Amino acid sequence: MASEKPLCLKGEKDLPELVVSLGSMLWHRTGSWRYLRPEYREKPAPCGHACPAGNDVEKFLRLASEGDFDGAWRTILAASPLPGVCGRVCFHPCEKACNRGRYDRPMAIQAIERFLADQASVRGLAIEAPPIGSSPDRVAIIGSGPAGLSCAYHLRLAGIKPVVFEAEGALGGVLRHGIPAYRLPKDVLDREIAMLAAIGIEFQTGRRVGKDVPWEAMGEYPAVFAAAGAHRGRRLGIAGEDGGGVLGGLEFLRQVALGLRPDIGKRVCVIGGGNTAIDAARTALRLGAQVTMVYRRSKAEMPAHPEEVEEAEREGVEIRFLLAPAGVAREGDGIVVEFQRMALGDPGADGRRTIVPAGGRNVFIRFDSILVAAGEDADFSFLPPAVRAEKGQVVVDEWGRTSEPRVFAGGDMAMSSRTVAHAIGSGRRAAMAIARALAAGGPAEPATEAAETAEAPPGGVEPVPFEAVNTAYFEHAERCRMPVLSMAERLKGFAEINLGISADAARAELKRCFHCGRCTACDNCLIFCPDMSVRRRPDGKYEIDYDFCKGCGVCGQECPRGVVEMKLDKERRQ
Amino acid sequence: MSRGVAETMGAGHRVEDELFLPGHLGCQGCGGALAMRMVLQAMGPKTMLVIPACCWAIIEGPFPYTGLKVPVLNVPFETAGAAAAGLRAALDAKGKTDIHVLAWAGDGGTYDIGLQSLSGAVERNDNILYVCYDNEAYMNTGVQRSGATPEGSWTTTTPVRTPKDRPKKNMIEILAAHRIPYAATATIAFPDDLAAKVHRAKEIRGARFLLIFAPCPTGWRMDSRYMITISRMAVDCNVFPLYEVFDGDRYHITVEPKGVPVREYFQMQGRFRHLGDREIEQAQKRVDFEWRRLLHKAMQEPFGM
Repeated sequence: MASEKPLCLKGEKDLPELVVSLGSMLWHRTGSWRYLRPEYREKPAPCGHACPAGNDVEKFLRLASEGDFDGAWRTILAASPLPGVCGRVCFHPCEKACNRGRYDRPMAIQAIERFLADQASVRGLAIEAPPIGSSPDRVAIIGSGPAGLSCAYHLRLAGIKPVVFEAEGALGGVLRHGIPAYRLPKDVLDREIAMLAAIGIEFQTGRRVGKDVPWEAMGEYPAVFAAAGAHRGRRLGIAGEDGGGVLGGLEFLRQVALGLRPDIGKRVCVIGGGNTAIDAARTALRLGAQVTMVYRRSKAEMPAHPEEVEEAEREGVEIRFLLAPAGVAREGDGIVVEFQRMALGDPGADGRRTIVPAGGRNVFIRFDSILVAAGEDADFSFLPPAVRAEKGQVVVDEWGRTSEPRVFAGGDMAMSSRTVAHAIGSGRRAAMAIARALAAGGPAEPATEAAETAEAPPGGVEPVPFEAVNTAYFEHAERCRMPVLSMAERLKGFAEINLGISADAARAELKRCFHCGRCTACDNCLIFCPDMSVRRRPDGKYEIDYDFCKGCGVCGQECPRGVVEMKLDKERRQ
Repeated sequence: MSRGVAETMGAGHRVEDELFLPGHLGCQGCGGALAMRMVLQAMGPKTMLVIPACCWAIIEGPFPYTGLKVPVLNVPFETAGAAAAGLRAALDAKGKTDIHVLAWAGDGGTYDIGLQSLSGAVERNDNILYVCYDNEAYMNTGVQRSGATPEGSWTTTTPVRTPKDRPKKNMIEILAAHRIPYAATATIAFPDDLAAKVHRAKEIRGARFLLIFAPCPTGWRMDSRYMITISRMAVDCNVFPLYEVFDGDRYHITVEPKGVPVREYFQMQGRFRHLGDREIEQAQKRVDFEWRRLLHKAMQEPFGM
């Protein structure tokens, strides 16, 4: 019966005695009715698109939701060697971009990343790296912070032998000496660095380039990646700043991280409104101090992450706004800081409101010590003058290439966005460019768009907007909560505050993901096609039978995650 | 209570197993065509169809072709119930009791023209499954008002200056009044719920009735892509609640509605575009009233809305 050709009835003798059907309708190619054409097109999800480190977030969430925690962990490793670190300290722009945030609350991506990293550690998983040749290319990396580690890791995956020079006695850069242990326990950092050492990355600690190792020694390497961070605290430029009792915020954090207990007294003033200021304030609190943060502008202008500010306040940090330090004077065994009252002015170039003197009498407050966290500058005095720098940053292109052919740079010393995720991304891109340059055997030739699209999530186009998600297929569900240390326990020391989510909580959370832009073989298009024109392919996904598809658009509308697109059918319009 | 959204329907699906082939003459986004596809998937190949005059008499294809892989008996407009009863008697006489007789009629052939023969068949409790795919007007002949057309709706015989002034006939109550073993509503937007009801009907002997809400983008003056969306909305705003009635007495609501305002449902369709705020408010009141009656019959507290 299923003939695909019309019947040929030549006369009365060919007609049946009764009015019965003789053939099927398969000859009737209703595809000719179509003017809109459905097409399957997977697109990047906003989470991965927003990740500065280049994580394919949707993919690791998908693998994890299928129960493949190891595969999910390895998916993160494809972009970043530090999931345990990022799962704790990253400011998760992925969650800000998450489409679910416009439906109820965003996916708890960071909590899941951390869960995956921690379970991989418990299960003793190791990084798999290809074997290294007998005489591999060697690349020098200056600095073992997130950018240096990321670059070393990606070079190692490309079969290149990285040699990492670290000025301090221990590895990790800002992760070890800047971020306090209550946010990032040192054993988590140690564990991830140990994984990197295990795949044959050479680390040389206590070797500051420009001091212990002359820059000229870098000449033996075909390429150098400089990522020494930004450690030099900015000065306030006020009278009395240079006396005792005044300490840089980052230097204070470094001393505490090294196990020293700097004498800061009881009443501590932290000047600044950035993340270093918050970290310094919360650390001082844990040393038993009474902490007052003073910021020139108001809360809305604080560069620190709002969640961190909130936690600091909950722990008991007092924050005073619109006070600018004007002078420091010593009185007895204490310090008196003079502050000028400020008021908010017009928005500046960065969109934040500027400040103007508010008039009135200056404020004098007595402290035992002051921690200054007014920003940090990079120190690139070790680099040759030929490496161009502007506005306190080494000038690089998107692939980390400097004005010198062999020299690449990344991390805080070369980027305006100073976050761990940005640093990891910069190390990865530089590693790609270095590997490409070394493979070409000549000066670093731009890693072109082809390289980027090969690395980018499928589609390489704009991420799926919330409007393309059909929320009828998703029930509202509560976002998982991160268990935290009680306030009383927190202030006793540097124990980690966030305790991590359980496997059950992670599984429940993973069910909330929309999987924007990714066909999950949900069968909606197949079930709702009124023309039987959606077929399942052997790989479990689908194809359209354009011979019969009338272009009604139901599949495009009912796709929960914006994979099916309707386009004008040019073929049919001609 | 599961929302029953497309979780099991597609499992193991193969196009070769479809009993309804592509190439049919349904319009783009035809809810009636999709309803047939879903019902036949649940019925299986041991099914004989009885189709009176309705859209489906066209959709299946012109003589000498058919778009279906099960036998079809095409009968006059008012005779679906009687013809199905006759076919059942003939099959039983030949000992073919394992074959299901499925009468398949539109709302015109069910609510209006075929009501007498349907009433006769179900009153006799003939062993048939009668499915009405309800697109709320005579769509095949060009969108004329039927007993299923909702109040306030535009059709070609109820133009916008004098839209339909009577409420939609409550077909399930008519069937329930016959005290038949099973009567239920379903819609293509909830395929798992629909399939479950077909399976339940298959297992029951006697007269069974299924009313399937099947949007007609052409007649409802809307973009065909929203065919499923509008079906889902009809359920979620209580215009078309999904429930079943056993023995004309026991009511069971099968899908929990989300309580969307009727206004949103109306706004998506050209046939309601002429309605002003007052008319929409009245419609909302009627829908709320009917929903409360249904809850009362099902002896349920209102859902958390």
